[in-house]
Amino acid sequence: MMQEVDFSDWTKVDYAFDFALSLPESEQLPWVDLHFSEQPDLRMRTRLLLARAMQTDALFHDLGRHRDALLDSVLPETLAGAEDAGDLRIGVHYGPWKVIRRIGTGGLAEVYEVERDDDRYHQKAAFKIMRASILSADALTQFKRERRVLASLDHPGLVRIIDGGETATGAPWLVMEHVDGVPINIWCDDNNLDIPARLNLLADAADALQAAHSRLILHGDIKPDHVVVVAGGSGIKLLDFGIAQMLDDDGVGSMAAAVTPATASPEQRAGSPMTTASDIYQLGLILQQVLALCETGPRHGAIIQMALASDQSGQYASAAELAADLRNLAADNAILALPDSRTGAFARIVRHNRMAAISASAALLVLVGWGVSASIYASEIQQQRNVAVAAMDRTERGRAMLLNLFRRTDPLELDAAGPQPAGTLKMLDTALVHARMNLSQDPELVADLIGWTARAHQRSDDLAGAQDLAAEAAEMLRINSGPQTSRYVSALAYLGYLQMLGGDQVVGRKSMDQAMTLLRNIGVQDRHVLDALLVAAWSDEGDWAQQRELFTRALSLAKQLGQVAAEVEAGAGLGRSLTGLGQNDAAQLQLDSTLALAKAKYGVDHPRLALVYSDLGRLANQQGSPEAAMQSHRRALELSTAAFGADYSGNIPHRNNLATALAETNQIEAAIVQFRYVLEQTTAEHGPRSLAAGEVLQNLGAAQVRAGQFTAAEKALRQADAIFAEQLPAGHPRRVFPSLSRAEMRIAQSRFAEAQVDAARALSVLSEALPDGHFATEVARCRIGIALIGQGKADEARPYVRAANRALAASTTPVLPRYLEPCKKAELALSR
Amino acid sequence: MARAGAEDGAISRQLSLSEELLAETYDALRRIASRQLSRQTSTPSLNTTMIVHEAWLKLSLSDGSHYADRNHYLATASRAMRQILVDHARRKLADKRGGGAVHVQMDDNLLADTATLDSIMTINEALSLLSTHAAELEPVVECRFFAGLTVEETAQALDRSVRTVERQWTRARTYLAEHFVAEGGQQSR
Repeated sequence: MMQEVDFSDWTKVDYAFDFALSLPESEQLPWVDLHFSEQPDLRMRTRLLLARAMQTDALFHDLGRHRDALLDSVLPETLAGAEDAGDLRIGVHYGPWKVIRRIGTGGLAEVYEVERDDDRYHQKAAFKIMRASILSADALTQFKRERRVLASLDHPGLVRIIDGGETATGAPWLVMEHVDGVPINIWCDDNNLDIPARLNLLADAADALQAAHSRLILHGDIKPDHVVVVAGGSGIKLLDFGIAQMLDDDGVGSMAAAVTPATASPEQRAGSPMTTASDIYQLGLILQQVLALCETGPRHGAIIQMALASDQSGQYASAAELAADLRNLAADNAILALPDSRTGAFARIVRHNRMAAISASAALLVLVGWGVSASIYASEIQQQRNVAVAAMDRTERGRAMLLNLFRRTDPLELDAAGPQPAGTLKMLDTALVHARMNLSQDPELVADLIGWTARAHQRSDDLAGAQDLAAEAAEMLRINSGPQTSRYVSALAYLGYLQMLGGDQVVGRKSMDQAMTLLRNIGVQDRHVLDALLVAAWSDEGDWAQQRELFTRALSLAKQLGQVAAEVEAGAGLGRSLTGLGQNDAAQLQLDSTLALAKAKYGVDHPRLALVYSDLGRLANQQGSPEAAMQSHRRALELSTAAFGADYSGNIPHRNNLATALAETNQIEAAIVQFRYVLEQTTAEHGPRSLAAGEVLQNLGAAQVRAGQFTAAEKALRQADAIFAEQLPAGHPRRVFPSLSRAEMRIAQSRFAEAQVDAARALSVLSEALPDGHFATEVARCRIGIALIGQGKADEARPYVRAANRALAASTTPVLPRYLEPCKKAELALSR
Repeated sequence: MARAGAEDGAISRQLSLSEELLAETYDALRRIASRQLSRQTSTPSLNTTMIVHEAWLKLSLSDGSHYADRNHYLATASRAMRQILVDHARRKLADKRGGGAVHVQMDDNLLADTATLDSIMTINEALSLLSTHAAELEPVVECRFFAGLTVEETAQALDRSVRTVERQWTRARTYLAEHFVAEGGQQSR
């Protein structure tokens, strides 16, 4: 054999063979002959190799077939486990765990049975090892992150993760509690369970799901095989939780890869990122299956339908909600899926808005009742309203962002988990604690979560808490993303916004200016930039020119990014600022097109349109069309009422606007009806002695004076007086508004001496508190004169009346005739 | 009991990088096997290229691969494939010689099977022998023959030029064929 070959000769021949192969074929033999011209033996052997080299193809073709045939026989035996002997992992240790045998093979992982050598864990455990070779680095990172979060979950319905690590090749593995269970559908049928028992089992499964969802973990492949009843019927376990299912076959995390086609959720089928809705949908399928052979009623069908609803507003907002409905049905209580009165479609919206309403209505209710100041304060109301709505819009956008980042749970969907908004906040706070612990290697993500939790705190009226969180998020992003990033700028702008909202104008303005300066150098135009622009625009309320510029930029960016909700927000905002600038025609065009967009996006009856109608009402009022203003405000109120119910506190500002508009169009009786309603709601919402209630009383009293309902007006104004004295600091102009209204009443009653006292009290305060020439001051001054005339003191009256008329004529803001006319008449009377 | 398998003396033995790669290649085999069995309709003949590529393609398609050196992975996977095939052939041959009584039927398949097993064992031994003279040829054969990689892929895996790999593959084939001529005799020339 080969051993007989002389090595030095072999090497020589091999070298010559190798060199010859590098030459063109025609030059090979001549070169060999030349090279070995003195060594015929080596020449012969090299020539032989060259000749043989030409003929090896057939042999290796045959060998290749043998190889493939052998492989064919390897496969079945490999699968059958006959070659466990060839499985190097058997008997080997991973951490403290020794591999006993293989128990399964899946698309992305091998599963083994393991045990511990020491006494720290006595039960059998399952060892899952990912195939590192077919997973991308991103997928592996994802897997490890989820493993960490899952390991921290402690719920009886979830399989416990006990340990985790990495192999020499970097493949992640985990050890989890071994579960011996029966798929839920088989268990139900084998044990002939009655319907309530089935419903309660499903409710337990939904609880387990909720526990994971509240930690931002999706399951992704809920099917009967993964929802098992533990041997002996002691409880439900969800298996194969949110790990491999998150990754598609290529391991690159296109999250919606349909894992099990028959049970794929709409999101999976559409290829869009999965949310908690996917899991709820799949649990709904199991419910349907488990109840298929039972005699069920319409309420069962309603729950299934709501779980399987494809539109977000029709589906259960959370697994907890589904669990509650299942238990209620089992106990024969009322269910959300089929409420007794209203349809459930708006239930979610109500829930979501209730939170916003609490913060909104407190800030929203501002004085409207006294004269022309009504429209000025009305604009303030709308500002607050817009701010609140804008905050919600941003929350939605942020939710989408969060979804993209986490590519799973929607924390705001968790709102519905508890009936109390406080519960929501707590859940978010919990999730945040979790995220801080488990996601420390991903500070940008944590910062985003902190930012979103800040917004939830803001919505719940915890401004201080919101500010702390926003400051933390901004700082994290400054350090980790850098100050020249849109992410940081958006966080900084939001912080500034909160600081201003909290009354710290100087600090807030500084943050905002800094954010806007940084923004100028940011080239990328993404949603963070959009967010920063919107926040900045809302902070510039009153500085209409600046606000117009920011809204214009935001509007064009929203269009560019296809962010329709933001487009509506920016469009309405632009309309507002144009109104503020007195560019009525441009404002009209802008608001009309925004209304059309909002209608196209949300439908004609969507409550979000209320904001735009409200702005249209303001504009109409400014254009001197109180009738049109009244129509718009009425429509806004209708939409809000239809969506959220008559008692929804968010209706208050709309109703207040309507009442004011009614009063302006001299429909005093109708206005009084509305003001009474507003008073009722405000009292219920804020208490009978609240400042908000006092303001409504003032509005009501003023309207009653005009209607000649003096007894009622007397009472309302007295109550307003008392509340203002209690709630407002001395010298505050609003404290004397009841006096001013009462002076009008006393004049009408011909009780001139009393009228003079009230008007004088009003004047003394207003002339100090308001800028010179403010019409309210001048009306007070004029009423003193009128009261003096009534008492026959024309000489004393003259200077009051003249000064008031001069100032009113010079007023830059329009003054309603009903304030002007009495004063002009008084002067005429004096000149006679 | 935990110590029964610890004949190499290590109480808690863990797998080295190359052993873990081998184990992963086994996993890939299992995965392909299960997929084949689930597809009742057509069973296209399997080949080693598919298996090694299963891993390789996915690696090469994804950014920021986990392996610092993909080519190193490919070369190691090819070596693992050789080991899998040879281990299997050796076990089959041992079955035939030792437990012959179990296999009652001596049909054409079994005969063909024996030729298959022999040829794989022969090329394995010939390659081991050749590597003592020309070590650089061994990984080329593992990649080209046992894993079924193309010349270009082999060049990439071994970080050699395509021309070099072409020459080395021709040399290796020629020397290995020499071996077959000496042993089998029936091979046509």
